[in-house]
Amino acid sequence: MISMIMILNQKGDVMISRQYRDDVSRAEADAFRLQVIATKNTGTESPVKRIENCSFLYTRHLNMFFVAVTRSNVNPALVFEYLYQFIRILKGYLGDDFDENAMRNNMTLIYELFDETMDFGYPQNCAVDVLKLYINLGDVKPKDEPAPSQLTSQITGAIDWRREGIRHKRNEVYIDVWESVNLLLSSTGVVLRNEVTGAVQMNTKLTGMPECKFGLNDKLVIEKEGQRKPGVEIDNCTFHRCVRLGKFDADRTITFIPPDGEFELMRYRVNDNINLPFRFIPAVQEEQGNTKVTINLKIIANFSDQLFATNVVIKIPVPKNTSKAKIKHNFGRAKYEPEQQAIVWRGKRFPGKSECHIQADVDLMPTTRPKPWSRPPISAEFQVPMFTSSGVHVRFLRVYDKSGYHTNRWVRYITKAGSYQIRI
Amino acid sequence: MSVVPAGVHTAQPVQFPPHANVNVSVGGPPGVAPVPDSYFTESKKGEVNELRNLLRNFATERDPKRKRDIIKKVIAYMTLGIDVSRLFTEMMLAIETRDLVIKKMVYLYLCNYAYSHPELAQMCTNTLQKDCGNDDPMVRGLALRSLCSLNLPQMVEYISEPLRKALSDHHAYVRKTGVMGILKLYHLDKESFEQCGFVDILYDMLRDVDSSVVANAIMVLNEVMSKTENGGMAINRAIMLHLLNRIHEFSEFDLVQVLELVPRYIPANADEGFQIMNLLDPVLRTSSCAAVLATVRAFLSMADQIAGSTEDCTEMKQQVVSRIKAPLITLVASGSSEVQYVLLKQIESLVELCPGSFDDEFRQFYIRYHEPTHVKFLKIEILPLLANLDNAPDIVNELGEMVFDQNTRISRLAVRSMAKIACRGNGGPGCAESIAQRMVELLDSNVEHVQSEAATALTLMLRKHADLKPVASMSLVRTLKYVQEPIGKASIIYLLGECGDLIHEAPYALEKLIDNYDTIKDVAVKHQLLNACLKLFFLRPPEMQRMLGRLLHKATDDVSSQDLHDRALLYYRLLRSGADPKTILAPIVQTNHNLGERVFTEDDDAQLRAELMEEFNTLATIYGKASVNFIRPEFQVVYKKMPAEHPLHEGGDTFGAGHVPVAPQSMPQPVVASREPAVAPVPETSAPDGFVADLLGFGAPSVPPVQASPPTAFSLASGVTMTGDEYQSKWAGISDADAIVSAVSLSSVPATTGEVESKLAGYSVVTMASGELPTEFKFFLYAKEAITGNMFLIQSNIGKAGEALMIITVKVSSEAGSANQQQQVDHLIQEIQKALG
Repeated sequence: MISMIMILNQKGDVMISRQYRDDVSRAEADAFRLQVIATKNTGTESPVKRIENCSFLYTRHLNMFFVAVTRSNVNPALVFEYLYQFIRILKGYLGDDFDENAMRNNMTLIYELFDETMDFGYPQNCAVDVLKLYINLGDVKPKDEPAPSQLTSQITGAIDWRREGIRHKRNEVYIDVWESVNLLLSSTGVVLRNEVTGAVQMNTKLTGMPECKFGLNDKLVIEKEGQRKPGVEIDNCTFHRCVRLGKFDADRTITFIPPDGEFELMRYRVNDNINLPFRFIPAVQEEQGNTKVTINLKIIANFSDQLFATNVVIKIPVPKNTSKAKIKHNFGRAKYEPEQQAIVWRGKRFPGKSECHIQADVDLMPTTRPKPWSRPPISAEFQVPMFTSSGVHVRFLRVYDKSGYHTNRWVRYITKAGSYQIRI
Repeated sequence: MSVVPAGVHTAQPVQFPPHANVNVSVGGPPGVAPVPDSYFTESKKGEVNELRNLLRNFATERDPKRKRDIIKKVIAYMTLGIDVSRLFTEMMLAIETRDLVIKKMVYLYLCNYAYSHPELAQMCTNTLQKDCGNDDPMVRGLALRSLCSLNLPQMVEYISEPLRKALSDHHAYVRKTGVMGILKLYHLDKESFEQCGFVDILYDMLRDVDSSVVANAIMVLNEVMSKTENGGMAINRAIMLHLLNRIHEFSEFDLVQVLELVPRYIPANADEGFQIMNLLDPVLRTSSCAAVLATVRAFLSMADQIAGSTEDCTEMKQQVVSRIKAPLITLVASGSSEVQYVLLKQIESLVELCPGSFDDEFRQFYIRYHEPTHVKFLKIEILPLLANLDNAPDIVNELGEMVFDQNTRISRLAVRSMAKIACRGNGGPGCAESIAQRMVELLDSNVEHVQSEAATALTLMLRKHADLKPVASMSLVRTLKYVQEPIGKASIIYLLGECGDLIHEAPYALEKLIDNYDTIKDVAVKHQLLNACLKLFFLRPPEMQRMLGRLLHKATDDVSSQDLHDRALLYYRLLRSGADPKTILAPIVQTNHNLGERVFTEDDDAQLRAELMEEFNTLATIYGKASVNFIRPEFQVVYKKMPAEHPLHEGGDTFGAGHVPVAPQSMPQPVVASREPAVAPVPETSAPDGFVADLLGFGAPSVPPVQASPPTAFSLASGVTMTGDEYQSKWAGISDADAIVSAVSLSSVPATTGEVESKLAGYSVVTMASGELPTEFKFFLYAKEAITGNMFLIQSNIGKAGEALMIITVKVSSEAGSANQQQQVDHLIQEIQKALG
């Protein structure tokens, strides 16, 4: 069990803490400050730190540390899940990028949340929507005050993610399919790693307790239905807890009663037959004498010419001792940015099926002791709306409710670069 | 004087200037002129006095918002670490309020300072007790929680009564708060806890209708009983199955509590173990990594329990690990860095448990440029464990890419990992040579720490594979000049000594070092120099004799290290005694050559690994240490599996354990062919991933554990009739997904369909149609349950070849809903078994 939760700022001052057990004290907070925050190694050191017989498990939000302190042999995954959930709850109350000030101004609210989400070191009810029903000290105004009896049945009810009696004038469901493509190419052009991780985000505004059935073009389902259309082989998926897992295991249908508002319905992973949105052909030459590097890079957009990629940022690393770079390119803007040690090439709109090219002659400053250049990979960031690398698409979303109302559905697809790297 | 910011009386939330007085008591930063103590105390007093004045007005204040603000300010000061305990009396007056928000804040204050003002705190018990009887369950729960959190031993007598009442409260929120209250009472006063007999009540509460109450009861029981011989809550079959049957009701966090009980449970028989695994299988699809990992642990423990022999066990664990691989990889791929770290640590121990299980996913462990370094470290450490014949070249290449990473720790680790692949020898023929080749190239790289690591790696590899000598010896003499790092230098010297027969100039390379002996700072280098020279001496006595003499002279005069001095003296005396060269070389050379198939001692940690697997998914796996090493004795928990003896034959248990379909008394042998995966063709209801089919052998969860509901009687009505059309429409009316599939083993394959039909008719199972196909018999049967009137529609077939096994697909057509369908079908299957068996 957890003995104490504390939230520290960047300097290591305890902004707020809640002690659940008396086997730890503020002295532990000091130890953590001195041994973890003061060393400034938080990215390098493991997120689980043991100081004497006390274990600290921590994560960060902006520059605040959320730390769980314990003396027993806890389940670390559970503790991290709780910390994440707590941050999620705070985001729900204070906005996605709440900062120190927001925390200070809402101290009492946070105390309340501490008390409600954990008792004597054990996680209790942590569903944001339900908490919002009865803890509303902060800026959150209850939308429609439910009757107290109904409210309290929510706190402990079996379907704790949705309350009864929700009404919406228009019944709408927004579905966002987010995919991030991960690619790692070796310098010889061999695919070292290529996969897509996807998430289906939903925003539901539905009346009553509707039963939803959701279908993707999952290969196994399509084959079972005997259709000829090609399906996507989904390697593995995980679901929001509202989804009936037994049903999925039996016949791979995704049925659920959704929470109201935004939530992540599922995550999935696809390993095979991935459509890479961009192909990169790099050529990097270091000249004899270490004074010059020539970089040639060709980029080909592989998606349909009806679509276009947005916010394309390509970082081409150059050696530390670069003095200047002569760049020729036919798309967007590109310049050498010394603080990134890279030539950064930016473009707002990259049409599909097009090709572009950049050539850079990089001059190096002579150094006394030549150090080999580590040649970090070229990395790319982009978004391609209405395109999925894996080929996943939503086949249907059916909403069944007693009143049989009509539901408007909107589906959006976005593919973005997860870690898209090409070694040179 | 007052330091209170302006705007106290406005409706604005109180703004604090950043860092105001955060650590007043700690003292100011260095460099600030010392301020007299009185200044601070007075100003603090000032603030607190100001608050006191505000609180005095509290009673007369009408505006609830302002009232809240006053109390909020007190809480805010408390958070900053300013002692506001002097306001205790005033705050107590504010407790009588109907405003829930104010109540919560005052209770918080109370819990914080009660310990320092026990008498005053006792005065407010009245209010708290009264609130425990409030109409609003939220208030009842809140008051109860606060009452139990006061942490005052003298309060015990006031706590136990409201607590007892709360446990039978009609509202679940109050009940679950009450359950936690018991735990607080336990820590406050163990004696009165015993007297109240709460343990029995808690066991009763495991049957509460509300899942969060049940989860809390589990946590509390586990902690209260952690010092007993059971090491936590006592588990028996009835409790376990009751909880597992309700597994879908629990929330993410509560679910983990239930799952953590499973590893401690010993299943009654193998079938039950399989059923439990079947039941838990869907949990692997949740996005909560805590729940998934807890399930993994449960699976591994079940495999341990079920398997008859060690080979069985290894094989079964292999199957378990291959089942859980995909979910774990997905969680790693999409999780945040902390979760990744935790998961990778667990995966590391799984890989060591079942070598080869994650091999095909090795690309998942390639590092990404932007990952936090702690994740990168772990991945680099896992990669060599995954190397096999096929992927070793790829992995070595990948590690080679990391060697020149800017982070020196990563580059060192990469070199070490490569050496590990060579030493483990699972990369196939030629792998070690190619790695050695790479290392030799690295010796020539211009980066100091890489050279040093490469040299050290080569020494390890050479100890393991003596045939690598020719490769390793190529550039040693040259490298000796520019490797500076002591460990690297020592390694090179060691290699020179080892490869002395191949390198002609070895003595002369060392000669310079001997001449500059006094400039060598590091003892390890001196040690290696001494050893290497001695080894070389026996290879090339004429060249080495004088050099060795000089070295021994210097080393015996060296007072910087006692060990070195003694060793040099020992060698000197041995040499002088004219002993057999073998005796002299024994202390240096003996361990070096015969490693062959053996592993290095530090890698041979089977015992530690076994201990760690016992504590899988706890901090122990993260630290790589058994929990006794870092958990104080008072927080230690015994890990004990239970129950040792199964109360299988005790009928009439309240949980209905006596009516478990798999209980041995109703089935002489485990009828379901769970050990022969091949004989269970799984029709349409099978899960898509082969797990159920190959591991469990009986398809969909056909024979689930007990229902928690009271036992139901079961008998089949006789003389039921049905027309063919009726049968068909009913069959079509029920979706295939609801069908239940099972298998019954027969004593022999029947000769005709009639044989089976007549046997079944005796048990009121009527045949609609039957037929004989070239490979199998097919039956369409039906039966009616006498009490509920449920119709069972059965399709079944018996294969003519192979095992005498009847595959049965049942659909239940009922008016009463599907409450007990599973159970009823189980009874039906038993009837059929009786008829045919």
